[in-house]
Amino acid sequence: MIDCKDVFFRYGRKSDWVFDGFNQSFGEGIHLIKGYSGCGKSTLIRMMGGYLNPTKGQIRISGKKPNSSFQRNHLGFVFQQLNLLPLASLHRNLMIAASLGGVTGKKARENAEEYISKLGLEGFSKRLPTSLSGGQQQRATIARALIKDPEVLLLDEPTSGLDDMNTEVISRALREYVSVGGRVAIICTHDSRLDKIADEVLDFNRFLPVERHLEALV
Amino acid sequence: MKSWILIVSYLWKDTWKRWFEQPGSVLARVVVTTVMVGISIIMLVAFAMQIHKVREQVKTIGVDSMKIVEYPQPEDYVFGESEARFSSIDQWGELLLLKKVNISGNTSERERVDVMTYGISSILPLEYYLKTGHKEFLLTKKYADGLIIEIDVGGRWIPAVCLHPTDEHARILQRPTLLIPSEQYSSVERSGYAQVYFFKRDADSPEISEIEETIKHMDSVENRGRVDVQSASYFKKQLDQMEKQQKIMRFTMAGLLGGALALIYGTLSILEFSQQRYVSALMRSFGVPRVFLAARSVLESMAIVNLVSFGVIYGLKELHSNIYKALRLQNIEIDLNTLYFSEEVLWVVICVNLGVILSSIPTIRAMGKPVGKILS
Repeated sequence: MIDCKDVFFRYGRKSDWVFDGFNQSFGEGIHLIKGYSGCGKSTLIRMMGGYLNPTKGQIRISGKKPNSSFQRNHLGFVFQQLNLLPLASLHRNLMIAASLGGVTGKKARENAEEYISKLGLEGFSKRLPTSLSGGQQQRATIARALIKDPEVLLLDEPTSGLDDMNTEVISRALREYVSVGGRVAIICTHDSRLDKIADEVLDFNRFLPVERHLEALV
Repeated sequence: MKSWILIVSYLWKDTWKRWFEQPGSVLARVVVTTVMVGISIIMLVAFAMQIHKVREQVKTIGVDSMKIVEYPQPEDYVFGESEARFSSIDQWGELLLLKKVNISGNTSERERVDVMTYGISSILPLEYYLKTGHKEFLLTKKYADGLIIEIDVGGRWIPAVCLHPTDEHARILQRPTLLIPSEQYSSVERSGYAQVYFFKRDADSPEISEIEETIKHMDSVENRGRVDVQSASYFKKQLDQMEKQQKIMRFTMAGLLGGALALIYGTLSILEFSQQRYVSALMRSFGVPRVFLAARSVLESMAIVNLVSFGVIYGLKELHSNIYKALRLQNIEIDLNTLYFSEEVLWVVICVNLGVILSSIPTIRAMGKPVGKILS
């Protein structure tokens, strides 16, 4: 579903290469990407989501370049930071994401209720993000990513700092999400508690350019 | 609910919050726009009023008429009389020759009136009034026809009959005018006077412009007292010149106003962008098109600038007479809606909108930064 072909990336003209010729394909199921901090995990999924452009090479999702239409209709993305709309209630955050993905009206409300319930957020739907705990916000961002039933789900450290119970809630929701079939979830994480739900674990360190690998080891 | 309704409502909420948290930014825009638009409109309206005035003068004078005002010098007087140098133009049409004395008259109600004397040569053109049997008459529409009132002219009370001027004279005379025979009131003329010629050409006579040239030529050859010639062609020339100036002024003002607003709004937008950047990037991460978010920034500034501009226009219209009195500019009778919702004023509004669009360019460009770099 997701094909990375000869991907080169660096943040600036004078910066070091983060990727120099990365090739990888991701099919259905859950893929964990693991590696040192700063090895480029987040950069890769941001490129997959169309939020960063490769310096050279290409990333295609079902043969297409990720653009804003793809982001609206087919992508669920969870950033490492808790990026909820600060002035909208949890319910409104979910409704905005759903409506952008073409899920509107009764279906959107049902989906919102469903994911609020699945992620243990009942009773918080009218709250603003600032009044939710870190764990609740984390679950809310995942609910927001899942509400439009995207084909591709990209998650950047979705369980960092969460206790086992919250991690379990998220794991279950992700497993359920891919169980429908035809869906791919890519998770960047250091969290070994998520290993059990993964269909594939990718050690990212092996893709690092040699000098950066040595740097990371030091 | 439609996605765009949800997004617009969220962005609106976000904008309100920003305005309330940092009112200085909005106030700065409001103040800058008020001052700049206000000054521009006052200047353009003043100019439009001048042009309107000249147009009215063209209408008043008429294409076949001319007014000459000759100011005699002391050496021009012979036995207390000065020669009417241009009286020979009566061969080309009807001439009404009057002397406008340097003192004004006052009615018992303290209303100021112009005082003019007429000689024997003007009896025929004034026949319409003289056939009433009164030699002293006040041309005015204020009082009833036939009413006798007394007018103080330099301490001398002159009884005069009130008569309504003919349409032609009503156009020429600027205020109520007392006409008295020269032979009986020569003492009044001692205060000094100007010779005033009201001339209307005959159909088969040379064009007014040619007669005007002849007078100007005579004046330059003789080089005596000052002579003002006012004809439709003179005012038309003045009008053409003013319209040219207006065009230049309009473009200069457009450039200055648009440019200054673009710079000021641009600077404020860049300062504000750091606040908007996060929400914009978040929206873009959901797939909200960049153009939608750029439009928000443009529309926000446009809303402010247009509300303020129309507020200023409306305010200036309401305070029109006070402003022009305070600025000591001559006010004229004109429909204020025509004046304040004219092409000139519309031009100002267009310029401020163009300025706002220009000011949004840096913000729109900054929105091109990848979301992945902003939300990191």
